[in-house]
This record gives sequence, C-alpha cells and structure tokens, in this order.
Amino acid sequence: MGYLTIDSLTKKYGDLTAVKSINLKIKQGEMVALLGGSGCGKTTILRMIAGFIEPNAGTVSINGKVMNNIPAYKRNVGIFFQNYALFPHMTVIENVEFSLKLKKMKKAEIKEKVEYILGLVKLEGKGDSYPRQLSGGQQQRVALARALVMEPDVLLLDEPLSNLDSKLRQEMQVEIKRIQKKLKLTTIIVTHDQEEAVSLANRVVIMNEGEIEQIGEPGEVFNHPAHPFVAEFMGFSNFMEGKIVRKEGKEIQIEVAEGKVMNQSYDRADELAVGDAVVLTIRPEAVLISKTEEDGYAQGKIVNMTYKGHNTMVDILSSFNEKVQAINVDMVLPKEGESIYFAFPSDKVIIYKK
Amino acid sequence: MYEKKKINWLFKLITVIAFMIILAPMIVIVIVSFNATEIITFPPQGLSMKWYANIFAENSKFVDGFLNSVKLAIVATLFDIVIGVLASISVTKYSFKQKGLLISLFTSPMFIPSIAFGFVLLQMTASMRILTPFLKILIGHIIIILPYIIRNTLGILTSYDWTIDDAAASLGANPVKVFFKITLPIIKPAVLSGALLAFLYSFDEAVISSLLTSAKFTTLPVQIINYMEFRFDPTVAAISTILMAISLALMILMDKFIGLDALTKQ
Ligand SMILES: Nc1ncnc2c1ncn2[C@@H]1O[C@H](COP(=O)(O)OP(=O)(O)O)[C@@H](O)[C@H]1O
Ligand SMILES: [Mg+2]
Repeated sequence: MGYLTIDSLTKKYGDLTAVKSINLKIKQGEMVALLGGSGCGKTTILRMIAGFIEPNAGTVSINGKVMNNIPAYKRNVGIFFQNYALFPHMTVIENVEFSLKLKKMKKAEIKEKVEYILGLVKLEGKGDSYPRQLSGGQQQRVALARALVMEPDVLLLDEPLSNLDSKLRQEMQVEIKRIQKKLKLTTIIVTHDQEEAVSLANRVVIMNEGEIEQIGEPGEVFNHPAHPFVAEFMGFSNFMEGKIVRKEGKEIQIEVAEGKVMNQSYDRADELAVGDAVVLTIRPEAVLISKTEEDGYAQGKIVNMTYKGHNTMVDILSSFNEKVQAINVDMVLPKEGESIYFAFPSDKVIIYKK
Repeated sequence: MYEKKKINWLFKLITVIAFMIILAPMIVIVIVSFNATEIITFPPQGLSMKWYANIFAENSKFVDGFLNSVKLAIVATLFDIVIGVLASISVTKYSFKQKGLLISLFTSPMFIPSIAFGFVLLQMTASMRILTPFLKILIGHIIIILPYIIRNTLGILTSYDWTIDDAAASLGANPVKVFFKITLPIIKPAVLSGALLAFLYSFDEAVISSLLTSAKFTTLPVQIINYMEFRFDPTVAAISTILMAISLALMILMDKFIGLDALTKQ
C-alpha cells in the first residue's frame, strides 16, 4: 500500500499520448527519482499529481484518498517548478509565508516558521529582497522554501538543480536530501541526470515516451539496467549488435558482422543460446586498455582522444570495424593512429537478447 | 567602432526638434489663455484672467460638460477594465482555434473611422427609446476605448507565466484568491496604463459624442465645439490649459503609484 499511489495514469494531447497508463506506488517518506529524456512526460505526471491538469484515465491517490476530483488548492501537494515560478511582486518573506497566511495562521507562528525555513535553505538576511534581486541559486532556494514551509503531504521537485553550476548543484543535492529526510517528506524528484537520480533517491524510475521502462533501487538500475534504453540512460555505451555463433561455458562468440567474430566471456552466459540475436554493452570507464598485447584483449587503433581534465576519452576502432569508447584515467597513452589493445571484463559487460 | 560623436549630435538635435514639436503648441495655448485681448494674437498683449473667469460664468455650461465627460470616461473605463482583463485572460490562458481572430476582433474598433461608427450607432439607437443620450454615448465609448485596455493587457499577458498561478494554487489559494493576489497585482501596471489612455481618449472624444448628444447630456468637447460656432476667443485656450494641468497631475499620480516605466514599457 503506497502513500502516493498512481494507477493507470494516462494523459493525451490530441494524437500524442504524453503519459501512457503509468503505475507507481511511493511509500511515506520515500524519495523517488523520475528519470528520462526531454518530452517523455515527467512534468505532465507531476502536473496531474498536483491537480493542474486532469488525466484522461487513471487515478492519483494520496494516503488512500482518490484525488481526481479534488482541486489543486485543496490537495496539499507542494511543487517546485523548473522555472521557480516565484511571485515577482512579493518579497522573499511574502513568497514563503503565502501558504501560511492562507491558512490563517497566527502572525507569531508564521514568523517563526518562515525564519526556520529560510535558515534551512540558508537565505537568512534575504527576506526583504524581491526575486529579481536574487541570483538564480538563491531564487531556487526561495522556491524550495516556499514549497517546504507548507508542510506538504507530497513534495514534487521538477528538475530542481538543472540550472545550477556544478558546485552549487552538489551543495543543493546534499541540502535537499537532508531536508527531505529531516521532514520525512514523500518526494518525487524529476531529473535528467542519472548521477543525481542515483545519489538522491531511494528508488529510480526510468521513463521513455510516456512509459516506465524500469523501476528499481539506485544500485540495481545503475548496474543492471533492464533494457538497452535504460542502459544508455545510465551511462552505458559501446552498443554492439550481433548473433551468438558459439558458446562454451562462459566463453561466447558473437558475430558482429559478416565473417567478423568477437570472443567474449560473460558471467551470465547461461541465459543465452547459440543463434540468439543480441546487443552487447559496457560503460566506457569499464573497458580495459593496454599498450601491449595481453591474454583476452582484442586489437584496435586509436582514432581520437579527448582530454577531459581528470580523464581521457579514447575512441578506438576495433579490428572487426566496431567503434569502442574507453575512458582512461592514469595510463600514458600511445598517439592517435597507433595500435592499442582492449578488453571487456566478463562481469562488466551486459548482453541483452533482442 | 563607429563615430560616436556625430551620432550623439544627430540624436540630440532630433530630440530637441521632437520636444519643440510637442511642446510648442502647448506653450502657445498656455500663453494665449492669459491674453488680454479677444482676438488671439501672438505675442500676447497684456495679462488677464478673464477667460478663466469666463469658464465659470453663470450661463456657461463648461463645468457641466466637464463633469459629464468625467462621469462618462470613468464609467466607460471601469466597465472596460473588467471586460478587457477578463477577455485578455481568456484568450491568452487557454488555447483554442479562433484565438487570433478573437484578438483582432477585440482591437478592431481602433481602425474604424469614428464618424462612421458614430453614424451606425446613431441609426441603431435612434428607435431605442429606453436609451438615454448618456447611455448611447456610453455604449459608443465602451466600444471604442476597449482596444486601449485590451492591447496593453494582452501585451503583458502574452508573456505571462501561468505556472505562477499554478504555484499559488498548490500553496492553497483558490481561483478567486489566485486572481486577486497574484494575477491582477502582476498585470496591474499594464492595465492601469491602458486605462489611463482609454480614459483620456473617452474624455477627449468629440465625434461620436457630438452625433449622439442632446441638450440634456453634453460632454465637454461637444460644449467646446458648440461654443466655438458662435465665439472665437481664448476661453477654449483657458479650458485646454486646465485640462493639460489635470493630465499632468494624473501622470504624476500614476508615476508615484505604479511608475512611469510601466507606462512607457507597453
Ligand atoms: N499543454 C500541452 N499541449 C500539448 N502537448 C503538450 C502539452 N504539455 C506537454 N505536451 C507534450 O507532452 C509531452 C510530454 O511533455 P512533458 O511532460 O513536459 O515532458 P518532460 O517534462 O518529460 O520533458 C511532450 O511531447 C510535450 O510536447
Ligand atoms: Mg519537464
């Protein structure tokens, strides 16, 4: 029994089905990350939970109560908008106390709560500023404070960290997690950053074109993506299609092109059979590379190197004409155009049946 | 880099010329209104307040006309603020097929010659006995000044972020509270600047009013036209001077309460 339950939720815009019969149960105090590319329906789901738009089918329930016919202003769902949506004609304090004043709370109580929440988001001393006088990061924290102070039953965060530079972003990630835990808020956070999703959430939901592709705990989704689509989202690359032509224990042979066969050992080889059409994938940082020929390594040629500060992205063209991407941290690399050897560790590679 | 100095000079010259074009008639009117002679001469010959006294003379109807015009302009403007704001919100917030058509319809009275419009209105209302002259002119003004309010309001609403209203709703505000606490305060400067233009247009309007007027209800511009048919003295200049002073006072008040920035931005 979920605290927030979404049942066969569907939203259509003309011919486009933005959200296709989504089911999701979220426990009280749990934080779930919605992860997916632009336009896959994340915001639409949040807007249906908040009550701004009506679903074409399905229900949203909070604490066992169906919300479909309850207007947004009676739902007690706090929402953080991607563009903050602060009230431009009100100061920080007026923005934050808006919900408390509507509840006709006593002045002293309002003051106390506003001060507490502004402290929590580190905005002390900014109370009398107008939104336009604040930096992007500060505006964002006002929006967060405004949603938190109402003590919502459900908190919805729509890409709360997308417009921040990486330092502030990491600080805010820690803050959001801390506040969410402290106030035990049932939370959905939308993001398109897999690392943010796995570091913040108790569970991660990966969406594609209005549908859920996989739901799981961060480690599970990160390391064992259920489909090639999820894998790509979780940072896997080096997708290679082929057919299994031989199998012996853990050792398999995949024909990636006419007459081109790669040897690969795979820990879960027993799930596969000769004749299966498959897709192989591995993260670039899991690819092993070496300057000299080693046992189990295949040969290739460096076609491009991109220096990225703490590591180097190496593009390799294998001898069977496949592009392979590897990330190298500390090895002194040969030059572009020179020969290199690479291998896919048997526990890091994933092979999907097509 | 282009030559800044030359461009600066050119801009300054054009600005000065523009100011002179705008200010010269006003200055002439003010000077003439204090002129001692009946025939309008320039430069003036002697100083006098008699034209001002003339406005308030016993048999003069200028004060009545002024009060009628104010009443008319206020009622028409208030009415149009309500219609204009609601109509602008409905065409910007919701998307539907005939949206563009509706917007052009709302602003179309701006492009109809007022003499033609006044004629049509006269024909249509001639047989309607229940309509007093005030109501007839009011209907005319409500229609012709609406575009000024709608254009200004639409201007701000087309870039309005409706998620702000959603945010207010999620924080517990019902639709009425959202409108009065969020939407209206945000669009208020644009609505008021449109309302000021509409008010001044209605107050100044002579064509429709003179077609629909009657002895019972005459506006100030109509009164002035009637007066000028028989007399041609600086009384009219004195009235204009007073009106300009009132307009200036209105502008200063607006500036104080909503800022002239908002007026010029639209
Ligand atoms: N009001 C609307 N009218 C028509 N289509 C819409 C509307 N809102 C969203 N969509 C469409 O629905 C899909 C999902 O949108 P959205 O939920 O905003 O995606 P996301 O937040 O995941 O980027 C998109 O294809 C978008 O174009
Ligand atoms: Mg979105």
